[in-house]
Amino acid sequence: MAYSTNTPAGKAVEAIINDLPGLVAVAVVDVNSGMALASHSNSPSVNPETAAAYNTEVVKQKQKAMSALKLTGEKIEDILITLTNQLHLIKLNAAGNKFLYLAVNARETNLAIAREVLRTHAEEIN
Amino acid sequence: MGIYAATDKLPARRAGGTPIKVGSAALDTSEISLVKVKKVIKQTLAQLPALTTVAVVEVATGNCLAHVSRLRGFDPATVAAHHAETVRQQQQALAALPGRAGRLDDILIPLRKQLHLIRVARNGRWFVYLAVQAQDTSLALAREVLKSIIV
Repeated sequence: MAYSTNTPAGKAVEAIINDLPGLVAVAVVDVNSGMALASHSNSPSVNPETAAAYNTEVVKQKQKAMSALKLTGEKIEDILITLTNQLHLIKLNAAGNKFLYLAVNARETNLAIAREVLRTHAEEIN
Repeated sequence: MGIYAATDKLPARRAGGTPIKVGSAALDTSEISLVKVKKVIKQTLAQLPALTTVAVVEVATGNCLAHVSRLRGFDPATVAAHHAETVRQQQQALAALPGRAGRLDDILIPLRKQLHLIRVARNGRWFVYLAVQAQDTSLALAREVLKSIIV
């Protein structure tokens, strides 16, 4: 258990595990450092901290792409990544300084449910 | 792979385009193989092409076994001994802790615009010193890359 339920990040992770018990991995990540503030994995092959580090680069590159395209007034709400058997979702908080990372099994959870769960818990990590 | 951002300050360079400088005198006296040292540096360069400095240093002597630096006029060998001292002191501090505190994995030094990381080998005899610009790489990514190379 790589989270403490005393922190907002840990509470968010715990709440997401409650909503989606079959999830593969979940993490609350600081965009600046790429470090996970709280994380949990149900699969020994998925290290949520490694996923956090690399997915931070995805978020940062997208933010750079948006500033290069001069998309002012726009911000990333979420990023959805469809793999063969898994769905990976990234949901940024309102300030854009932290994000929730969630990996689920595509057979057990659909995109709408996973996305809705992240939307409800995004406010908890502000 | 090669997740990195090309910046104005540091133009993109081909991985391996920078020659690896080997401290041959230091290697002769140490028990660490040159092949392994070179492999570690090559892998780090391949995964973090925008890095500014990477060096392999022997803990006991502070000798820089091999290094690559993109900073003009900067020789990582001059700071290697200081980092080796940091590692030794930390290893001593861990040894003095009650119970088994475990092995020293890494030391992270985030500066305002740079990130410096030290990753100690499993045998505790050598470490990799890595310096990157904070705008190019995040602390976690640099750490994950070193972790994947030095298991």
